[in-house]
Amino acid sequence: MTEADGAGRRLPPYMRHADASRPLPDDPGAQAYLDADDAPRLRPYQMTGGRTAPVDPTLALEAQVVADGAVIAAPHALRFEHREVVNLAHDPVSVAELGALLHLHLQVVRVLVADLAAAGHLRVLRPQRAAATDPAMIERVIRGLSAIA
Amino acid sequence: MGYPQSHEPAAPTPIKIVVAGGFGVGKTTTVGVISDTPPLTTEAAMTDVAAHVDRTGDVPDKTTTTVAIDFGTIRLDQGLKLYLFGTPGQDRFGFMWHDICVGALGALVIVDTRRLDDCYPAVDYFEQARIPFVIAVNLFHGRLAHSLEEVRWALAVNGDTPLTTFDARSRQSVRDALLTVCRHALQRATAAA
Ligand SMILES: Nc1nc2c(ncn2[C@@H]2O[C@H](COP(=O)(O)OP(=O)(O)O)[C@@H](O)[C@H]2O)c(=O)[nH]1
Ligand SMILES: [Mg+2]
Repeated sequence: MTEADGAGRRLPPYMRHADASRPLPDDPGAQAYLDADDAPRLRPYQMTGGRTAPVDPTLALEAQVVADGAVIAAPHALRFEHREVVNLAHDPVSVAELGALLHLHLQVVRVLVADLAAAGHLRVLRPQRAAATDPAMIERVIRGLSAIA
Repeated sequence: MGYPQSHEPAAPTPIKIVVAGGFGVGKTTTVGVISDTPPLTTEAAMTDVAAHVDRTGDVPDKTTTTVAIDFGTIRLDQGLKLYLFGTPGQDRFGFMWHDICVGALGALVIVDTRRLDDCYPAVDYFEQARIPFVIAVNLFHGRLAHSLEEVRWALAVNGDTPLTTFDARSRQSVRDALLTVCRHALQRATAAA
């Protein structure tokens, strides 16, 4: 059962599961491992190993994601790292914000978002590219900025 | 299950402006002084981590460089949120550069006149990507080491690229610099329409 990473460190079981929709038993050991002050930072490939949902490598930093009501009501069915994303996404939140608050690389956030979206737990709202070159939209930005004291 | 299906809150329309420039020019200061919320930092890797994770057991090589991206947000109106991303623009971060900048309304390229060449990669990038940008000289000591025309000449940016001075520690000054970016972008957008 024991698996180890390249440095010989043991990997807790939740790192080895791939399927976002498959709940893991609540594992106090895993939680303690993550909570421990001396716990090493998880490397991206450990957190996301063996996954299958297609990742959008171009998902914008400012794209908004929002969790589905049902999963908000029952987040414990999720793997730890997916649960963390859902907990931050009760209201729409940007991909960049998720990365900052969870201390995760942008690319890892994209992977987690893809997992959750594929399982129907998260909705992804891609920004409309045309907005940035729409004169009416730019005028709206100018009005908003001008109001800053 | 009988959970109340909570009505989904509306997401704001995100608009993005990139704040670029060499190390120490004042990017973090700029983003922080105008953001509604304390500025945050997110990390992007130079190499494509996602490409690695699909190959089980493949360990990214140790030289993978992580780049910190400052970001702040400004609620502009009920439905509109401005995202500011501050990033060191360096040649060797080409992949990530595009990742951050695609779809941006425009860019503020911060310059320290004592180290002008630090901003060359950013200027090159925004010219090539056709993202409207403004050169903003951060007045570290309250005065210019070179005149703005000398700066324009040294950077070889064309005449319609706005050049301005600002103070990264002043909210009003940063607001005005961002407005210059917006007006330049508006001019471009109107000309193209
Ligand atoms: N005197 C002065 N110091 C500044 C100004 N802008 C930034 N600094 C300082 O210069 C240093 C580098 O600024 P920072 O925003 O971290 O630069 P970054 O590397 O581009 O993010 C910090 O210690 C700032 O407090 C300015 O307009 N005037
Ligand atoms: Mg900085």
